[in-house]
Amino acid sequence: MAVHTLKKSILSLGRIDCHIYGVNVRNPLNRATYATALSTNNSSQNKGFPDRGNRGPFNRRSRREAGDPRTDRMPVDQDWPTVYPTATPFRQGSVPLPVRMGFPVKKGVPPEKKGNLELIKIPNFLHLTPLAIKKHCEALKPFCTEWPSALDTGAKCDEHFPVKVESKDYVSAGTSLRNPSARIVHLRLKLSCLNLDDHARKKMVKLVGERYCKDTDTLAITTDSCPVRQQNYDYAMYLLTVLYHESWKMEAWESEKTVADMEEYSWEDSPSQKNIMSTLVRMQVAGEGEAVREELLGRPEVQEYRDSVTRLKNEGESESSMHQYRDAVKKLLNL
Amino acid sequence: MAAPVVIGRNIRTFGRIFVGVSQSGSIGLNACRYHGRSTLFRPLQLPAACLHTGTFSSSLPSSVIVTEEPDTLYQKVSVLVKGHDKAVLDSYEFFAILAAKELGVTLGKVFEPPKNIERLTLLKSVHIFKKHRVQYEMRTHYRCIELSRVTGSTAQVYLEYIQRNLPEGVAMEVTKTSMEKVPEHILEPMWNDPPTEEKPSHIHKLLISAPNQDDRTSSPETGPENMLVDNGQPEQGAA
Repeated sequence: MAVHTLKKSILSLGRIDCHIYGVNVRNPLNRATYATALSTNNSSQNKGFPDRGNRGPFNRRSRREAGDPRTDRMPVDQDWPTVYPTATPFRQGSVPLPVRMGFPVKKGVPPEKKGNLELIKIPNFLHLTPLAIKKHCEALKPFCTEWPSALDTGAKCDEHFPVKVESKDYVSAGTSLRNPSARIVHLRLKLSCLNLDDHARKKMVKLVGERYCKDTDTLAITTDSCPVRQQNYDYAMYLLTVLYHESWKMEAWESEKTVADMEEYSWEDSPSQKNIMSTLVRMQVAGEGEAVREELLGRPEVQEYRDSVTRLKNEGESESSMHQYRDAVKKLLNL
Repeated sequence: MAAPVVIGRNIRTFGRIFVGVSQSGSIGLNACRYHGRSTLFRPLQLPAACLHTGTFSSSLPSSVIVTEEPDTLYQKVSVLVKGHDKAVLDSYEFFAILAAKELGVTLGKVFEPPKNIERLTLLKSVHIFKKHRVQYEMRTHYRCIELSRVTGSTAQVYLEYIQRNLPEGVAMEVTKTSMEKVPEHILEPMWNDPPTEEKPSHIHKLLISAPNQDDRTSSPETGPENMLVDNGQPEQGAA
């Protein structure tokens, strides 16, 4: 339709002959026009082209006249969704708005909507007026379900439904519908929601390695080895199950765990304890023996020292931990 | 717009939306089940003449199917739309927000991630003239609409509605985060169960749901036998 308009307008530029009362209506100020204006010449006039018998590019005999645009007959309170029920290209005869679009020539305005290609090119939302959206949503309401009112806070959701499964869907235009990234599944959960004892928890953390984040206590399993999302989800659940059961198992070789393998520092049987014990024993000069050592261990200053050393080793050095250590040492050595 | 490409969703009339959507209507959690309430599903064949008459759901029979399976719960549904034209995305955002409000979906954040401009510099001429180049750029604008705490059927309805009205030249990426309970087989470690025929069924359940991987299937199989026989064989972790 745009091409036909263009051809007609090329003709019309060559012959500006619609004078009314001697005034040039088309170009009152003789300015350059766009080659998009429709010719107002009556198409019933034969412009001198040979009659090619209802064939040929300008087929005028059998064409009926284009009547008034629909906009002339539109009442103000019409039902607009009937005019544009679905996504359709812009029809200038159906839209009663004086829309202008395009780059203006010098000292001009953007061209009008009649025969304007720019308005046809851009996607329009004329079928989605607020009234139409409300109507659609009313029709769609029966298919929606309500969110359960008991799960109004995030904490409650996490308490009852701790496992979070994340996946992505893609919608785009292209030669293919599929997007290979749509098969990836992320499974996230907090280890605190699982039934794990101390040994099982440590073993689980060692088994998963990089996938565990200590700060948020979150285990994140990402699966993308299968071609279908359902398969990846099943695989992630399978991994979780196997990890859980394996971490509860106690292997024979796990009893050979050395101090270097331990995740946390424990003061018992450490060089620090031995040193302090020997120091205190020498200070006391009360005699050696198991009973003395046990009695020393039971003292509150030794407990404080143990706490401060454990805190330093586990949490790292900071102002408060160093102060605590200093105070414990002072008390212990009676400085 | 008349490019010969396959569009990622079918553009159909609104009459048929109900046909498509009603197939997925499902309701209720475990706590509230509707037994035996199922309306017959009649496929709607609208003649082409009805397209422009604007008759909506008030005249069409409502075919809502209620199934007994529990609805999925989505903690967050994030809809990211990408396009080359910011004005189109603005209009689409208005549409999506209004639709969410009308359907009763709680909106989270609605924000605009920064645009991405990809530029390339090419030679202007077919042959020689290295000093004269031409530069093109492709601008991709984004808009993100986050919905929080949506049920599965509502999310399906909303997303289908949004996606059917996705304008030309706009792509969408939907990230769904669903919440689930801890699966039953993880509540208790299976080594505490008495060594009866229960164990093989657990293993079979694991094996059936998992893809075929030889080294992984071997470890759970030999696991309980190890426990029973109390062998000292070292075993690798399953992860």
